[in-house]
Amino acid sequence: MAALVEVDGIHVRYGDLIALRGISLTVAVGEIVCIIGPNGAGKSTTLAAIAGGVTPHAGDIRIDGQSILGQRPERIARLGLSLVPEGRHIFGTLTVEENLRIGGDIRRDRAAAKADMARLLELFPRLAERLKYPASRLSGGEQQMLAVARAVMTRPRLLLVDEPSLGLAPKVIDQIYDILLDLRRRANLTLLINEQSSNRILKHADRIYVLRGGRLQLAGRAADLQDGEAIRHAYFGFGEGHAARAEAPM
Amino acid sequence: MIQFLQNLIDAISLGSIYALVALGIGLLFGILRLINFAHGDFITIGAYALIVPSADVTARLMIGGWPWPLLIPAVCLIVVVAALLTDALVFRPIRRASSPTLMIASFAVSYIIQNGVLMAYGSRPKAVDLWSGANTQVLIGTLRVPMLQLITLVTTLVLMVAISLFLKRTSYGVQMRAAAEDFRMAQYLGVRGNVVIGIAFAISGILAGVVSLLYTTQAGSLSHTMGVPLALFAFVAVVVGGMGSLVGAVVGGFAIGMIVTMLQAYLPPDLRAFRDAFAFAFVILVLLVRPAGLVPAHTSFERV
Repeated sequence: MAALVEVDGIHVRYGDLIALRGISLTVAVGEIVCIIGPNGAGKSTTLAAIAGGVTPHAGDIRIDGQSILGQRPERIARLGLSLVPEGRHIFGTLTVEENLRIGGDIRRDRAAAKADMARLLELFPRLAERLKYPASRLSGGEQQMLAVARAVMTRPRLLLVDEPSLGLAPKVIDQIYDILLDLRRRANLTLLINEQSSNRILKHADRIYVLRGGRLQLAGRAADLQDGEAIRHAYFGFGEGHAARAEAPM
Repeated sequence: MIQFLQNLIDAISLGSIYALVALGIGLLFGILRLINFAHGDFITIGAYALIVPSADVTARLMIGGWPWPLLIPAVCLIVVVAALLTDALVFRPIRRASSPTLMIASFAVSYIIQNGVLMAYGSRPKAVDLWSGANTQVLIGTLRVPMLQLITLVTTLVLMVAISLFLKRTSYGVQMRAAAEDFRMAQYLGVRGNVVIGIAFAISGILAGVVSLLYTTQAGSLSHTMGVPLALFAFVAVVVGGMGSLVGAVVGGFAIGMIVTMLQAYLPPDLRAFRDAFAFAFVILVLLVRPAGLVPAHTSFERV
C-alpha cells in the first residue's frame, strides 16, 4: 500500500509551550489509523499540522511523497485532505445548506458536488430536514454530523477526524462511527481519527498510535493490541502490575 | 411637526453616509479583524480623482468632468485599485499580526495617503462643483427634500440590497461570511483566504468610492483630511452597532446620523458647538447598557 501521509519527526511549539517532540507516523491508502492519548498529548496538534493549521519548526510532512511544509491550509485541502476539527467548528450563522455548499466550493465539477450533497443528505436525514436552519440551532450530535458531511463534500481522499465522540452520548457516538465507516466504504476514504479512549477504536482501526506528552509512546497493529494492556501502559505511563514504572521513560 | 420630519430626513441622509462608511469598515473588520482607519482616506482618494493633480488654487475637473455613467465606475475603480494595493503592499505581509498591529498599520497607510495627496495637490482646500442640481428641492407632500438627499438614500438602499444579495446568494459571499465567522475553518475547507480578503477590500473600495462622490457633491470642496471625520464617526458607528456585525454597522451608522442631526437641531444654541461631545456621551451611555453593541456579532476571534 502506498503511503498517503508521512509525518517525519515533527516538532511543534506554541510560543514557549512544546506540543510535539518528534512525532512520526504514516497513513497508507485505505487504512483506518487512530491516534489515542490523554488530553494535551498532542493529538489535535498532529492533525492540525497535517492539515496545515500549524507549521512544525522541525521535521517534515509529506503527502503522496511531496513535502507540504509551510503550505496554506486551503492548498492542502486541494490535495485531498479534509479536517473535521475538535469542537466541530460549524459556521453557526450560516444555514446547514450553506455549510455544506462551502465544502463543495473547492471542486471544479459543480454537478458532481450537487449529486454528492443529495447522497449525503440521504445518509443524514436529520440534516436534510434542517437545511434552511442556522447551523447553530442543531444539537451537538447533529453538528458533528454536519461537520463530517461538510468535510466529505470536499471529496477528500483522507479524512482527519479530531475526537468525533467528544461531548456526545454513546448512542450518538455509535451513529457517527457507523456513518464514518459507511462513508469510507462508499467514497474510498482513508481515515485518521483522534480519540481519548481506545474502546471503540480497537474494533475498527487497522493501526494505532498512542501519544502522551507530545511523544509517541506506542505504535502497532490494532489486532496485536486487543488485550489493551500495552495501550494502557503507553497511555498512562503505567499499567496493572507496572506501578513501579510510573516514571516510564519518555 | 413638519420641522421634525425635515430633521428626520436630514438625519436619515447623514445616517446613510455613515452607514456606507461603517459598512466598508465593518466588512474588513469582520473578516480580517482589521480596524481600517485608512478607509476615510480611500474616500479622499476617490474625491481627489475628480480633479487634475496640481497645486493650483482653483481645481480643474478631470474625471469629475466626465458624464455620470463613466464617472461613477471610474472613481470606484480607482478606489478599488487603491484598496487592493493597500492590501497587497501593507496588510498581506503582516497577515498573521495581531489586531492592534493591523490597526496601527492602517494609521500609517492613512498618513501616507494624506501626505501623498498633500504633495500632489497642495494643502489648500479646493472648491469643486460636481453637480449644481444637487440642491434642487423635491416636494413630497409639504416636505421639501433636496435632490441629493433622495439620491443618497436610494443609493444606500441599492448598495445594501446588493451587498446582502452578494453575501447570501453567491459562493464567494457565503465563503466570506464563513471566513468572517471562523477564518481558519474556512481555509481548512479550501476557501482561499487571500481571495476572500481581496473581495472584501474591493467591496470596501466601491463603498468608499460612492461615498466620496456623495460627500463631495454635498460638501462642494476637497481637503486632504476630508475622510478623517467620516472614518471616525463610522468607526464609532461600528462600535455602537456591534463589532463584526454588518447589520450592526448599518444600524450604528443610522443611529449616529440620527443622534448628531437631532442634537444639532434641538440642543440650545449655546451648546451646539459641543454637539459632538454630547453625541459621544450618548454613545458611551449606549455602550454601558449594551457593551457588545446594538446588534452583537457571533464570531470566534481567530484569524489566519
